[in-house]
Amino acid sequence: MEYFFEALQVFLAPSMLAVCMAGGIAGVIFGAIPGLSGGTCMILALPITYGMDANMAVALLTSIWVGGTSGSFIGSILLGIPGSVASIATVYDGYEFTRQGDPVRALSAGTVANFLGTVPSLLIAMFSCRLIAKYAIKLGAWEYFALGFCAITLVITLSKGNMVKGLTGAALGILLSTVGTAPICGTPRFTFGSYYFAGGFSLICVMMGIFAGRIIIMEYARGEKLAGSRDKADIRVGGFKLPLRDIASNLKNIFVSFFIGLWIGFLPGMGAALSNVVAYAVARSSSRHPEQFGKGCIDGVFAPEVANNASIGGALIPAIALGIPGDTATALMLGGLVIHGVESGPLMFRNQPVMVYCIFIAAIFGAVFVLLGEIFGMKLLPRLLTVPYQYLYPAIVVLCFAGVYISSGNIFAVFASIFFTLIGIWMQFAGIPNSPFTLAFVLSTILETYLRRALSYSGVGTFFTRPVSCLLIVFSLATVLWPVVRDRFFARTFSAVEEED
Amino acid sequence: MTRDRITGLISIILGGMAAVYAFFLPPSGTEGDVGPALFPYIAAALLVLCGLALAVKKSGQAPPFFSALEQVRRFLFITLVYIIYGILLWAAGFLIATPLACFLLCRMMAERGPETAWWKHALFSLMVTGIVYYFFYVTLNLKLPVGRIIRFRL
Repeated sequence: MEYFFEALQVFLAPSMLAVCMAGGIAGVIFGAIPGLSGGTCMILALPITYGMDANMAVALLTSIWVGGTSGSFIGSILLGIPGSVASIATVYDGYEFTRQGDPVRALSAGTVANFLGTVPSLLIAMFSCRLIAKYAIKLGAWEYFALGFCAITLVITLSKGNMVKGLTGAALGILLSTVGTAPICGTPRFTFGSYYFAGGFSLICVMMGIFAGRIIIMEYARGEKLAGSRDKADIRVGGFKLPLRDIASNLKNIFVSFFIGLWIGFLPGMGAALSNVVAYAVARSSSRHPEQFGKGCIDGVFAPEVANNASIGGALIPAIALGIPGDTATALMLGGLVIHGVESGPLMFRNQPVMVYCIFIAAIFGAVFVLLGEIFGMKLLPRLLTVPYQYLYPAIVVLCFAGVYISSGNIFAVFASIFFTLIGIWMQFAGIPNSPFTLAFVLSTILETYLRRALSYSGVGTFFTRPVSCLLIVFSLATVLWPVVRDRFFARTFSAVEEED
Repeated sequence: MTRDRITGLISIILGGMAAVYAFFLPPSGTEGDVGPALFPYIAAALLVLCGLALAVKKSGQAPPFFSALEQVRRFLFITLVYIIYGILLWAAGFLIATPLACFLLCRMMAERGPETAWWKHALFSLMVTGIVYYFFYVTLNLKLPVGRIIRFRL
């Protein structure tokens, strides 16, 4: 506990509180604006962290993440357009309240639900991380490779019904991460004798291109949002009203949605994007009045908003305890840690225990500031949705270019980022999902190091003689192969039934 | 040709090129190490296999990526602006390139929105440049591009 209090002491400094507040509010703003999301804000903030110490950098990135996940419900409720995928299910009932002229009830419920999802999940994560790390320290290269492999395969299997495209994204991520100096032996790969390629592509350079750069090019080309966002959000919102009665009638719903969010967040690649939809479906199916869902039922706001925020704590468990990020947001946060020479994983508890608690405390403070910001700023929330894109997008482009230059100190990175923007557009054209690409790009170097180290100690067989690695690899292969086998099996069964008929 | 087929062909070409490059990589000097070509081979194999799967798969015609020629023109134009901004950063540095690029982007983005006076965009561009410069260069002491041809620094 002494490390916890040491970390808490760090965060009681006014500068740290200010960073948490700024990060949380920036996250809410980016999360609320459809098309941007908190992830984009994290990408833009990464270069800013270069000039900060590690604790402050963590505070900024974590609070942006919390704010971004929370803020996405604002668009869902007021416009019927989710700020990000984390609040898709909130649209179904949340927007109905706005249509019926009572957005405050849904916004107040969403605000409280966000907090109820975030803080308990962080407390659970804080205590469980330590236990998992204690065990994880005994794992070897075989198990770590299997864990990373499992994370990537799970993300691939979730690739919107097209696993081949998910696999293509992962392969592309692996290929691009191999540019530069190879781990273990130091051999230059795909450098073509150029000094600029020797260090490989930085995470900032790739993410700025694939996400921020691509979004702006495509928005300009298609011009949907630029055509006029102001007229859409002409909604008047009153002050926050504590939804005590709604909370009391939703205690079971909140409890169930919380654990759904926590568990789905823990699983690699799923997170808030899936948990909000699952929690909504469970809330509807277990409700005494399912017919009211979709017509402005407050249960349908609580369920997705508790679940998507509970995923934050769930996602932090493997990211901190094992060093395996489960989604883009955690990958970016771990990338931010690497910039400051901090490597996540079980050894972090031994080498930098204060930093571990800093992450959790930053998220808790971020959640508190987000709650206060949304309570006191509720009347201003519709303003977020009237953002003038003609100013916002150019400013983002400038921040991207400056950030990419800062990340590497040379103009080559700027052109590399433009190249990644075009790759991002090609991926969008081809329907290749971003998550497998990002996860493979981030995890590939670690995976390669562990795989080559494991193979140099012993042969391939050891992966299957060690129970944990065997279990994880078999599980990963099963998740990839199962849909293929299932489709074949069911196809035959159905055709047999049809023939009998 | 469908989108999947185009994607498949690009993947096969990329994978093939990666495999050829990996073939010529020198072996590792570390004893027992499988060498630096392992991961490029894995990526190449996956790309070729997925590419083949996409290329031979029967898929329906997807809706066009850009619904009108105008959208293609806009896509090419903004990509060109990105490239020119990059070149300007290299040649003239952050303080000259950024207000110009930001102003141009503001005007482009405002094409479809409510009409905005040019001086507002010019003022905004100068403000963005100043804020980013002050925040990164002055406050955080981080380097921003200084022009190779026109050297300009405050």
